[in-house]
Amino acid sequence: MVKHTDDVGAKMGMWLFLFTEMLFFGGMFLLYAVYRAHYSADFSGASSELNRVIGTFNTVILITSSFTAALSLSEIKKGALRSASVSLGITALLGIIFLIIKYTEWSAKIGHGIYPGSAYFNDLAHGKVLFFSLYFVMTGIHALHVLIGIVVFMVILFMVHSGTVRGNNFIKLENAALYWHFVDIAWIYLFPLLYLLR
Amino acid sequence: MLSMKEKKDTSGTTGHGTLIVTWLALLFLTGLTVWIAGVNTDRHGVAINIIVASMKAGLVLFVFMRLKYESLFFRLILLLIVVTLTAIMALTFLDVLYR
Repeated sequence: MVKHTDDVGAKMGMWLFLFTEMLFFGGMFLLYAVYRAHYSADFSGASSELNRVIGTFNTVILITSSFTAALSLSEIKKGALRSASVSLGITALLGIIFLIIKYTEWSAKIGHGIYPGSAYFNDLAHGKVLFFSLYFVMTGIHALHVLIGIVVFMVILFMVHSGTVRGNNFIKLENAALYWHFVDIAWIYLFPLLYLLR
Repeated sequence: MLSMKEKKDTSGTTGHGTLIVTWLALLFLTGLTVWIAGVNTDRHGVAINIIVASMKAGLVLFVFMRLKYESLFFRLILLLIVVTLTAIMALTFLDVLYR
């Protein structure tokens, strides 16, 4: 009995999902752009309160994790399961580091009273309230994507060890890597919009 | 018992050299965008940062996500998404800025 599989269809499904994700994040970027146009001074002031060094470090972390995800796919295609596993593990680890940094960054903001609903927050200029609301929503949804990616990579890592994902059956890893690269691209745009533009 | 996938061609790997060069290019562009943000605070900063971010996204899409090896179908859909988003953004700005 021959088991039917369709790698091209699986990859097409992932690409179509990613296109819906692009439209999803695109809506938030649109909201950001419109409010930035209306409250440019407030957005500039609020952006100055974010730490550029932390944002840059997290960008380097995510770009490097994208590189190791691509490396793991390249390795598994060659049948190098051990090095593919190492690359997968590093990718998940970098994702965890990204989330830890994001957690400390959010904690600092919340510690300063910058969170929706606080007395300090409610007294901020309207444009700043919009900026920080968008900051929490956009980075929060992005962090949720990172968390899902970490879990997926852990499952794939287990599948590599159990032999389900291997040198001639790697579509699950390929799709997981595609998803992770998209998460990287979303951050590539979030980083300058939130941390760099003053 | 072989699945159909056992016969799959495993060629089409991206070389380590290409991946490393792309990674270094992404790090360089990140440094560049941080540097630009430090020295350029005028209104052109938005456009410059978006252009550099799009260059980085292009590298990830075409090398890491291997879009350059995919069929024309995928590239056309990506183009459709980019055009759709651009049109939505342009029409929204026409509405909110000249209301």
